[in-house]
Amino acid sequence: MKPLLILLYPFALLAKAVNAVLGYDRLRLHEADKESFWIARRVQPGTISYFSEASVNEGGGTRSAGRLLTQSLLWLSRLYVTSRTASEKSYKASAERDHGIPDEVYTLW
Amino acid sequence: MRTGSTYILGISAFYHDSAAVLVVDGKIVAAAQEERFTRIKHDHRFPINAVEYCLREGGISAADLDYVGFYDKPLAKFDRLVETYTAFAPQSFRSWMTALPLWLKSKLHLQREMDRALGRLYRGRYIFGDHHESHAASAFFPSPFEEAAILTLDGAGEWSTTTMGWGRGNHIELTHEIHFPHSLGLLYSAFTQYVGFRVNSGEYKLMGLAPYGEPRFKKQIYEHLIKVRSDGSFWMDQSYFDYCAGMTMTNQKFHKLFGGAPRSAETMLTQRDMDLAASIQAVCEEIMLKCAQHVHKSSRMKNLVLAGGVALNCVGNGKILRDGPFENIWIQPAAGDAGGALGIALLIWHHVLAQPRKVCNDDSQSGSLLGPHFSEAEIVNCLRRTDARFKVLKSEEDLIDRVADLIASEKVIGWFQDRMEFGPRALGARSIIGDARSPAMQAVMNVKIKFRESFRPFAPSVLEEDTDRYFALSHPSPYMLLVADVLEEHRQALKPRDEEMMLSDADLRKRLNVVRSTIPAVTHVDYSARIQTVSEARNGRFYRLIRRLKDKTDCSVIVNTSFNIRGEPIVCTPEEAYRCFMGTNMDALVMENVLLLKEEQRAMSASEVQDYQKAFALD
Repeated sequence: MKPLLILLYPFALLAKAVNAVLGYDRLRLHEADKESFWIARRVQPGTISYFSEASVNEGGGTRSAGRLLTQSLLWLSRLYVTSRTASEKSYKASAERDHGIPDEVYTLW
Repeated sequence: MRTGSTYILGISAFYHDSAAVLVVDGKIVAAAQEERFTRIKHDHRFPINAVEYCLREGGISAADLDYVGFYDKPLAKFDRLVETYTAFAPQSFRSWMTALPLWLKSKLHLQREMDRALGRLYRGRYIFGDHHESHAASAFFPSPFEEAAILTLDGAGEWSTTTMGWGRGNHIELTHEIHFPHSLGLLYSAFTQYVGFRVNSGEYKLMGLAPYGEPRFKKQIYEHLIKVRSDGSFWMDQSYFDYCAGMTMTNQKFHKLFGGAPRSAETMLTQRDMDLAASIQAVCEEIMLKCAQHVHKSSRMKNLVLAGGVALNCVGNGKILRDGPFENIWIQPAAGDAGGALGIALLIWHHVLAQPRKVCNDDSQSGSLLGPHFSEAEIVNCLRRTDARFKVLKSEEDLIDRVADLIASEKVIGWFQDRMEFGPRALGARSIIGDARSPAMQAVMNVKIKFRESFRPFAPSVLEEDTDRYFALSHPSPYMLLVADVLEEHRQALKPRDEEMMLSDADLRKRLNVVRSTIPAVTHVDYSARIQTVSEARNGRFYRLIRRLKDKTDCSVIVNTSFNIRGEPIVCTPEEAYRCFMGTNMDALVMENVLLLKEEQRAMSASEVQDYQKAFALD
């Protein structure tokens, strides 16, 4: 997996450059002068959204070249899914957190 | 065995404080954090033991569950993560290489992961709530209010770090939010780490350190780190922080601004550290208050509910209650991520299934006593497997009379009763208790029981009806989430020698141990106290014990601290309680009607005690 991630990382740099050129700033890193930093939240469109792992309320409405990268990674993740038929006596997570990852950073992931 | 009821399991996992909650027909039947079973503090792994407990409590298996909900939306969080790596490239490379394998292998396959963890027995669909919507639901639905304004503040969810909105009847709606990386929780955590404490557990220490300092860095914080508007919204200058792209919270620019590198853990605290704590605490309180004022203005409601990790800042909560516009506030006792499991379960009941909500006068959290309970027979069986010497008292009357006498004679008691608490605080079910009037109690409990040298006082539990006899508080605080001052009439003038020590002694323990009130064990250096109000309806035997102590001593306040040693999760089982009792200098252990006196026990060898203490990493 690591070589694939290394190969993909330049696309993050590329997406950053595209965002800079087009003025996309999803993290609002350059919006220090606004009168208010509250963002109106989109109204929940009904209960169906609760069945989705994606959010209809959060993170939408703003453009970014990073979305292509996200889609590529989602596609890549299909290669690593644990088989539904895998038999196991007791549950063990498909991947464990590395011991070197500090709590404060892990919490944000 | 399954009945005609609707069984909903809520889960929070994979970040910190994993937990499971079982809601049956809208009633919270069981709730527990995984750390209590695995004995790993803040355990982030899938809460397989907590789930097993919840199912056992409900008398069902995973096959009987109607719904299983997860407390946040993994795809939205992943979207935020990749956008962050993009925005902070190339500095984000190391973090990218460390975080993404975990996501690609596990976190992006959450449904499959949960299927496996539930033994492939659950046949229904999985439900996902927004992280902050789960927090909001955990704050509003169990609250005693028909309608309330909602404020959630924490580190980060998917994109939101702060939200506001309202709840009415069986519906909540979040109207506004502030997005990552602008986060009050992360700002507080950045200072927590900078002052040398661990993020996710050291925030309490920073809050407890604040009263020793002067907020002399406040101006720098406002000028450089965070812009705050009058409506409480804020924006953070990321050039001072490292958490978006790196493996720490702060960077060199931050360190330069505050005049040095972060303090190393366990080294001596300096006046600068105390001033930093006072400064960030003051900023945090001001922002919390402004947010509360703004949500009041927009909602026009008289009640406020709070959740999210920042809502565990009980000094800030006290300020909102004291200086804010709301008549009543209610804070989810498991305000951190564990409470998200409760929130999603209640969201399923009220939003997805559109079931009505019944408002209870106290609240629907049952005193947060929602964890495992052990019968007297189970306790006796457990003790018989050891060489413990114990006595089973015939009645509660005998028991509380005996324990009240022990407290009055300054003994330290392990108090193990009823169901275990859900949330980070010990509320009289898994508590170590003592006499709040004793000038020696703080030092004894810290050094001989907790094996730490703390600069923080212990919390008081007070009879609810006597709260305003001791504290400037007339609002119930059943979950120890409000701080208020000890009343003037209980304060004592400091001797000149003590006054001098308060100003200059580098040893904070000495400052803390200066007697400054009639209840010194629970009075902080600024006369504040983190209060638990105790009522018979919520707390039963714990209430009756304090009332008996009052009959004997005319004091209705006791010291209440969590039943554990430093770094250990609060005890869950009688075995763990017994081990903690034997491994520390506690004088007595009371488990249901069973009484153990230390003087009657075989002493643990020094190596056994050491092994016990070494089993837990310092937090």
